[in-house]
Amino acid sequence: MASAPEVSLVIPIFDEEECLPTLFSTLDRFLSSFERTLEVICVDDGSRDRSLAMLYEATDTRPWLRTVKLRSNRGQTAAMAAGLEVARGEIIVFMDADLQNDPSDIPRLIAKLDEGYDLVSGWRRQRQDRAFTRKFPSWVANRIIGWFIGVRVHDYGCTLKAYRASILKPLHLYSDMHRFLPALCSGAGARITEIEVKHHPRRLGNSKYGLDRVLKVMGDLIVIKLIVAFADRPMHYFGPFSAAFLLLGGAAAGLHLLNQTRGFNEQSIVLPALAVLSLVCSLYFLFMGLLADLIVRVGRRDPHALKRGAAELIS
Amino acid sequence: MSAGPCDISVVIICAEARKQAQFAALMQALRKEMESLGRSFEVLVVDDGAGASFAAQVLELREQWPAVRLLRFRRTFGGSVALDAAVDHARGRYIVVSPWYQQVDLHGIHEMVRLLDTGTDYVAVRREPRIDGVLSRLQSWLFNAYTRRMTGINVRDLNCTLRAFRREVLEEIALHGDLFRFMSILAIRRGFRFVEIPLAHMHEEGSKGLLHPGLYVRRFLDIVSLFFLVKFTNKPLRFFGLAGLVFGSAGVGICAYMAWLRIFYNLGLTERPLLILGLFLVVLGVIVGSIGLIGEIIIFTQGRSLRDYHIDEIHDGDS
Repeated sequence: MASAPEVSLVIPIFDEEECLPTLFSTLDRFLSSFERTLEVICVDDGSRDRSLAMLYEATDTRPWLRTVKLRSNRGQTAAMAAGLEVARGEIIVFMDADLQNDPSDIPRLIAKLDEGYDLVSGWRRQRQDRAFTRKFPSWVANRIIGWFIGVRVHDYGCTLKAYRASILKPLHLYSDMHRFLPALCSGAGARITEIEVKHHPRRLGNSKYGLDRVLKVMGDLIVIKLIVAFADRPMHYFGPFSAAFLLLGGAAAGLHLLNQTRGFNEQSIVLPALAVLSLVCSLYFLFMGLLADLIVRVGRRDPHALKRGAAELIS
Repeated sequence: MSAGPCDISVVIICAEARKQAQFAALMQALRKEMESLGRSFEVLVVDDGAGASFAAQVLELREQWPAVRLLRFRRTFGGSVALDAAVDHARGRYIVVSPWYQQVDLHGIHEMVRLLDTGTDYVAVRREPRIDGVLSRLQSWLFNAYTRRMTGINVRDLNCTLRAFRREVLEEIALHGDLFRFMSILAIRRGFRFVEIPLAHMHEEGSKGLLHPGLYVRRFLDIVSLFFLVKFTNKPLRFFGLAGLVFGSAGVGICAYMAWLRIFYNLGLTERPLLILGLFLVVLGVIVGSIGLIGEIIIFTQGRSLRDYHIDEIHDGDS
């Protein structure tokens, strides 16, 4: 391509041979009416079926299509990070290959972005999935994430979102962070909004998610909070734990002493044990905070990397 | 010999000089196989602190066989360091690493090179049939089975050190400590195309019978590290957090049970050591879980270079 396209649409692909023909015809139709220059980046995440061959075949006849082949299966976050790495557009849009999202929503996402936002999140308000195993857990998860991180988006799990590349490119995506992109972007000072997008029931292929993610998501949430809010001052993250244990230990010790002076000589070990262990935990968290500070200071990574991207040079 | 790049570099790492005859036999067999291969090659011998007499032997050999080169360490640094240094100096596109004695039938090099030519990144060997004692075989089997179980990666013989690589594999996989022997696992983990071929076992100089007990402990610890690194490098909290959760909830359960007894049955707690266990488990859970948080901070601040993925190829529509 001679000049960089305006929009990069990144689609991670893993064993989607059944969906691909429909995906291409949908994209063909979409592109004929799309007004901006677009590149579509399909990232093959080590598919074991015919997906890669089909992608190569499709790429030969479509100048706007780029296929990125990963050496092995690395999961959705890695595939998205790879697509992001090669994307050249100023606007990045992610989408799933399974056609539950509809590309016709993309112009609306981009129009919203042009109103002065850095991230426009898709919200599958009329979600076409099984209520109990998919919709309800997702509703709970979105509530918890929104409350915990402080970035309220209705649908973290919807892949269809549009980003300004300048916000997304500096992020280092690893583990399973793709679910928390709005939270990470908000750490970088992004202006975030959302619009409703269409959602179709899954017709082809199999869904690759299950219910077993709950624990993982909870763990990730704690990590994201740590990274977004406290990456440059971890002591403030550990400090409150230390203080809480100090209070608990102090209260237990105080109560024990009070009992002693009042003359209840129960000889109980419960309160002293609680006091000692709480004080140990309190000190422990204090030292952990120091250790974390040390790690952050010697980090090759600039602790302000996330936030500095938010600065705009006006003149 | 030309100074430019060649097809194949054979790397031989030797840390002991005592068995000169066996080394000479290896070199003789190697020369026959390499010359019949009809490719440009070099043989890079790494003297990993084997001493002056070994170096003299290699230099003498070089008189008759100019493809031999010598890389010398003044003292022993171990296989991982020696291999890293060898890769820095090797000029081949393919790198064949061989033990310093004839462990397996070297004719297999033909097959290994053929596999590398057809797109495999890494060819390892399993000794089959084996000629060493029952005890060695049993230990070896246990070691490999345990590694398979812990890492979920299917390798059959980690202790056979004749291996052939495409150069990129060695350049990409950073080895440290004793992880040299687990190279196959790290390579598979990075997504390299891996093949294991059977070759006849000819001789064994390595482990015989029962080993020093410390060695078993070290191998065990290696596999634990490997398990952790393979599965949780990018997400330490998943590992520590789960462990912490298990300890912590066991502790909370015990304490709740104690409180139940105290409140409803009015049993004194002073006489119950179980309470101490409960409290300690809670503390342990807290400690282990927060170590996971420290791990996450390390990965976030230092792990920029740890890419999760590797792009093999970008196929553009207009090219």
